Amino acid sequence: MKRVMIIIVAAITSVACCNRGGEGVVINEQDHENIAYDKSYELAERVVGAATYEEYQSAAEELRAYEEAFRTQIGGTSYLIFLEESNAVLNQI
Amino acid sequence: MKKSRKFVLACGYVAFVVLLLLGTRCESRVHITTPERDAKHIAEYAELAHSEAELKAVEKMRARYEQAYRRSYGGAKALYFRSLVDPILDAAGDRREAYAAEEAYLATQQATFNDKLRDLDEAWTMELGSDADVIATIERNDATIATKNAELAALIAENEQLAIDIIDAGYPEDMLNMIGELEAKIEAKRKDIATVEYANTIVRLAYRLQRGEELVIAEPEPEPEVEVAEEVM
Repeated sequence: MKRVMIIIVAAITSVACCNRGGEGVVINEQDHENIAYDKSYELAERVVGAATYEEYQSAAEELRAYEEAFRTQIGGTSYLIFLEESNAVLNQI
Repeated sequence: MKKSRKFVLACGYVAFVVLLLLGTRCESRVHITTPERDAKHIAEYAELAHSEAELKAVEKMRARYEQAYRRSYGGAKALYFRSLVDPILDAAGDRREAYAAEEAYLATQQATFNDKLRDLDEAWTMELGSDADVIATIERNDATIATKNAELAALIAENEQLAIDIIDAGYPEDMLNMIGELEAKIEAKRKDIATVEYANTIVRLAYRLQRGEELVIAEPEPEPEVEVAEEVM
């Protein structure tokens, strides 16, 4: 009985951890347009201005995560704003 | 015995006719009322359609209604129904074109975003080697580009000459096939050149990112001119 309980608890914990990791970025639905402007500029600037590969990798990962979040959670005009603003900065390099 | 056999046969015929009628009704899958009411019904769907797929579904619905009118009442009522629905669908068609343009623009932006990050990934992870190695790579690529550009120019000249020959010969099929093949070769050559140019762009970008400065390749010094002593007559 004890063993079964341990297995169940371990399974629940691992599922909870997996879910938490998969959530990634959550965009506030009340303010998504401003977030699109701010985050695209901030993250693309970090990507372009990275001095080391590690800095670049971390910024690029975050930029991709926000792109996915805008694409899957918001879409529409805010997603397009995010892409346009990011591209405007990325194209400078 | 004979009477009951007749009764069974009659029942069979009735069942067959009923099934046939039901089958026709199921096939059309639309229940027409009046052209005005049905047109209004389609207009409501057209108003709600916000994507190309949804608008196509509305157009299919219009076609099914029109077919049903044609079957049930003949051509005149079907045409009247169509005259009511067509303006609605024209407006919906304009909207569909606008959606398609928006979707194409979005696809371009997505492609730019992904391509740019892919270029940066490639540039950051590229093994550069020494400055001399980088310069050698770029010079080798430049030489390849120059060779391929010369080949491209030759192909374009050949293509132009062939076009003139085709007009003179009265557009024979074999020559038209030849020009098609030549155009495919030109396209392939252009792609080849673009690939090598892209490789050079990535090398230069990698140098800028990893070394923090632009790659400068010194121009080769011009060879000193040999002075020819003027002959004194």
